Amino acid sequence: MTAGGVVGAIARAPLRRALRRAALPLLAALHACGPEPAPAPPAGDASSAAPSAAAPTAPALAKPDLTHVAEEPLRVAIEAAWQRVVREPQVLAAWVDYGTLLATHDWRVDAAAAFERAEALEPQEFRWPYLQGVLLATRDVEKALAAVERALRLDDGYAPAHVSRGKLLRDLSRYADARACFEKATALDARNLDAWLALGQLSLEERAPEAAEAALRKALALQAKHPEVNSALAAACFALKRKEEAERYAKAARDYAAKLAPDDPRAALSAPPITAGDYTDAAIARMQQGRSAEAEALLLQALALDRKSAVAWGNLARLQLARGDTQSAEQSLLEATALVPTATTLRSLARLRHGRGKASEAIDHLRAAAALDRDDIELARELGGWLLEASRFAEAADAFGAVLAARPQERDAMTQLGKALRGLAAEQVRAARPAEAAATLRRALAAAPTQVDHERQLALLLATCPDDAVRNGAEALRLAQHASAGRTDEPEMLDALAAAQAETGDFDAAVATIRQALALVRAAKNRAGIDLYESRLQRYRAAKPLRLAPDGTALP
Amino acid sequence: MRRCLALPIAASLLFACGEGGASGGRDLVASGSEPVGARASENGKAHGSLPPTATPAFTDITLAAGLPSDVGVLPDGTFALTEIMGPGVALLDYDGDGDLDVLERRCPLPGKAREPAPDRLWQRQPDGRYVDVSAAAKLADPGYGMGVAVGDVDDDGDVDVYCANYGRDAFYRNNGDGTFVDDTAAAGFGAADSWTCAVAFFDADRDGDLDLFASHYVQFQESVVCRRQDSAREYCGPLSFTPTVDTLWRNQGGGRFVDDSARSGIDARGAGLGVACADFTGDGWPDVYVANDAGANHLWVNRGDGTFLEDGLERGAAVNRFGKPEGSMGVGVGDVDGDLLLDLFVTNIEEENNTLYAGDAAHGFLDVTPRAGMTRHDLGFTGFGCAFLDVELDGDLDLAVVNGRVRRSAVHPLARLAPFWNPFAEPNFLFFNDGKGAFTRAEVERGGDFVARAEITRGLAIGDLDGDGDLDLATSQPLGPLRLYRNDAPRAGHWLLVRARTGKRDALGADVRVTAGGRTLRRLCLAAFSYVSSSDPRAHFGLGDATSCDSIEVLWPSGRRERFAGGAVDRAIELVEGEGAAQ
Repeated sequence: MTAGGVVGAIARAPLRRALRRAALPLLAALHACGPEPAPAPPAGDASSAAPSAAAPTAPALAKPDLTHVAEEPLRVAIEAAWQRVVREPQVLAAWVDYGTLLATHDWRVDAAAAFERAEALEPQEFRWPYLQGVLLATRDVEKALAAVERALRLDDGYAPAHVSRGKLLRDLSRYADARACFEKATALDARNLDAWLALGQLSLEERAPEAAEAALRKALALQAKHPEVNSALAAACFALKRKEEAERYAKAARDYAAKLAPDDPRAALSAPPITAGDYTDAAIARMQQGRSAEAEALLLQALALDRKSAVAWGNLARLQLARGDTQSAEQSLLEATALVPTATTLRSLARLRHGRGKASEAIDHLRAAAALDRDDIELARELGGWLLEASRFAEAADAFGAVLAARPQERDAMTQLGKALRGLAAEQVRAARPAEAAATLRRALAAAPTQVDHERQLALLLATCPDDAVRNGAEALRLAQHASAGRTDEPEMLDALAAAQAETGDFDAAVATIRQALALVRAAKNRAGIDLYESRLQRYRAAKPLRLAPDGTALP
Repeated sequence: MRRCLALPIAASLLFACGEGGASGGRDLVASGSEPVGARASENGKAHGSLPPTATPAFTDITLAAGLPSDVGVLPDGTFALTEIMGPGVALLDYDGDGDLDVLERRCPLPGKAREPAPDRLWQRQPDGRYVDVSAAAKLADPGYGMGVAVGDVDDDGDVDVYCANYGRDAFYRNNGDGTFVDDTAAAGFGAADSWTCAVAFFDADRDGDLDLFASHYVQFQESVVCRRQDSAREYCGPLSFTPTVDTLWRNQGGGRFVDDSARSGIDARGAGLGVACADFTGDGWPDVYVANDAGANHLWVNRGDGTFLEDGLERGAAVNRFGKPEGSMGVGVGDVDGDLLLDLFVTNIEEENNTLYAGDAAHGFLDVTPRAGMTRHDLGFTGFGCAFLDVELDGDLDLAVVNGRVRRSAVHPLARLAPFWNPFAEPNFLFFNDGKGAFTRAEVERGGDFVARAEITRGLAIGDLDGDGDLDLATSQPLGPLRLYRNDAPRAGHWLLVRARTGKRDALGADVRVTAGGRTLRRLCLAAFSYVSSSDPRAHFGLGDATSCDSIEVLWPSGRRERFAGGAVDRAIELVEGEGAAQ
């Protein structure tokens, strides 16, 4: 197996980020070695196997505890790498493979010890002590510093190593030494963003905001959206009393951070996967790069290893959707949501099914998504819209009620709630529950006070309901007058007003109003309207108020 | 002091401890005064340095105080994030008898998340022992316990209690007769149903009553399974879930609250844990600092018009010196370097240092962790509760930190829990301040029991439990027992304990400055800081060799600034808003 043969990739690990930031070029170079590194001379050949004066004596290594390792391929890989170092302790590549495998699976201390063995076997190679420094930086600052300094004694031309050393020195309060390291790094490589950033951050800590700003602007020129650069610039500008500028940089930092998924693709390593998680992470990295076909193949491999990976199913569905295979996507999303019902996958499934005409199932999924993420108001809004579309008015009203609970002033939600309630009221009228309908219409009116249609409906109901307990002519007249004010060209408004006038006993007014409505429908040659309003006219001339049955027909 | 507790009755206790400080109209406690100068001299203790030989600073008195101290047989964890995060502890005088009682928040055992886990209220007895009075006091919230806030929300002179839970929160109003009533719905907290962590009472709008800030963690889903890099099952981190928006509950008067978050501009998401409310910007209005796990911390700057602006990045308190957000848990607040500016301390997950943000007039805050000597100690530790306190009364703020991992690592040699839990166990830290804001970690010989065992500790509260003028500690664990640690540190000075009162209640957030012995010290009356815990809100001053106090200045939460006469040291005093000389 080559040095890079068994490196797993799990993107979320902090180590992965550290490796990428600090040592990835080295690790990549290590992978790029291609053929197996030349085996070290057999034991006893002191000329090359003995550690240099500066290199430590390699310690005896204990095998990592594999008790909790759940994935068989990983356990096998580690076991094999371990057996090899036991069998061939003088073979450099065995230690390098072993250390790399451990490093990428977060056994940092063990990995550092493996590279220490590599260093003992190849004491002139810069990479082995440098990798130890990277691995130990978050565990043992002093030991990490010693390792990086050994590396720099071998080759002091690598700017990232100076940055690493500077950061460790800074952590040990050796600020002047740290500054010298960062300056050396910028001298070696003026395009090293980390060096400029570190210099800027150090200046900030030393209460020198002008110097910080100068260094940070160099970093910003290299990468304008870098979140750490932006946040440090925000702090520098704040200290320089340029608050608006500070806010602008802070916003850039926040916006950029908000866009990063938890499994930050910046941290991805391109290395052969081993476990289902590795395949999934590799696939996600390909998706970020727009390499969809490769990503899909990797996800299928992940699922071949572990069919219970909801992440793999979810991402597979995204890819299938993107290439228009809605049937497969639906199946993948069903698998994903059965394993781990997240709001995101449930919403995707809902939209997919909605698009395929499965309204009822889509609503169920979206409702489940909304229940999982009650803070996501857009989910509640979308659910409300679909329910309204499906004439499920009561549920729609609940959904828009949830939107308004979170955003009480939102006009669109008020309007939608009003529509839902009006639909519900119509259902209640049809079900001969006029009192409930009146209450619902009052809620609709409260939700959307500017919607005159709600006023008109309520006026009509209060004026024409056969139930004496519901009818209220005075309120009906007030509502109808308000609704029809300025709308005398709308026959429906005039009809409601006439009904209210009749209910209050003012039949002359009712006759006059319904005549106006009749004139409008005659002008529009609306036959049904003409018949309806003529019958109303006869009724009001006979001093009979209008009574409407639940189905909307006039009672005798 | 150790020998005080051993005596059975109050009279003996007072006698044995000596009469202490000078008399005064508002003296509450007249105990605890050792022959301070002689003791300090004996130990050769100079200001800002550790005595060459010393009694360990803290002694575990859990068992002696009548509290259960046995860890018992611990069930294995189920890898539900909730079971590794809480709960907290509160030190409060619920019955108004002048001493500190203890409220122990509790979580269900692993695998029994839906079973009730009633809290326990421990009442301090005159002999220093504690008795479980939960049932009699009707303060035994059964929820999945996390944080706790203590404050008098209705200005009736007794403290009310807000219990933050994973699930429905609960508010208990004090009846003033030693009992509480669950008043959650009537107080307006009926809708508080999420994962609430730290909670803090403070007067956000300076209208004279206490509002409440509540941090929320994540939208936890039990079904999410997480694994380590090596594929072993592990507790999920917050990034596996959706972070949440914190809540500001506005007191509308009389202890009736309304969720005012949206109107106040509290809208940024974060996995909120520790909270501290204080005037971090120096404009007289209380701000809110929230430690977020795996994300930038929030500094909600109070604009004085009812709204807040998240300004953490600009003011240097959101990310560490490398510009990285950290996995933050607890918050400590205090002036550690004597420059009269507030500094912030944030505990973080392993592989990240705990971070000390020094208050700076121009920058807001600066991460000065290396300068403070912190970077050598805590990389491998996961910190939760933390508190600044002057352990040896020498006039500077020392630091207590409780630790315990959230993911498994090599078993610490001091771990004695159970096979499943030992990989999470870590010892606590005690750091001594050199007087200029640089800290030295105390080993077991110096730190005592507090740093001597490895456990999974979460909550930390401080208060003078035995009324002897130094601050003692209470800690909480997800599974293990509550622990009380008595301060037995050799004394290097005198002390003053200041209760600041607005009307009948503690003036939470009052900013107290004492001038004594040629220097001015700044301390806050804060109950809410650390991690999901509530401390004694009195401002505690170690005064070094100052034998009298020149003056005391209080900046009240209302904005009023008053000066009070100084006087004798080694006493607990009470200052009332409106009774000082206006400044």
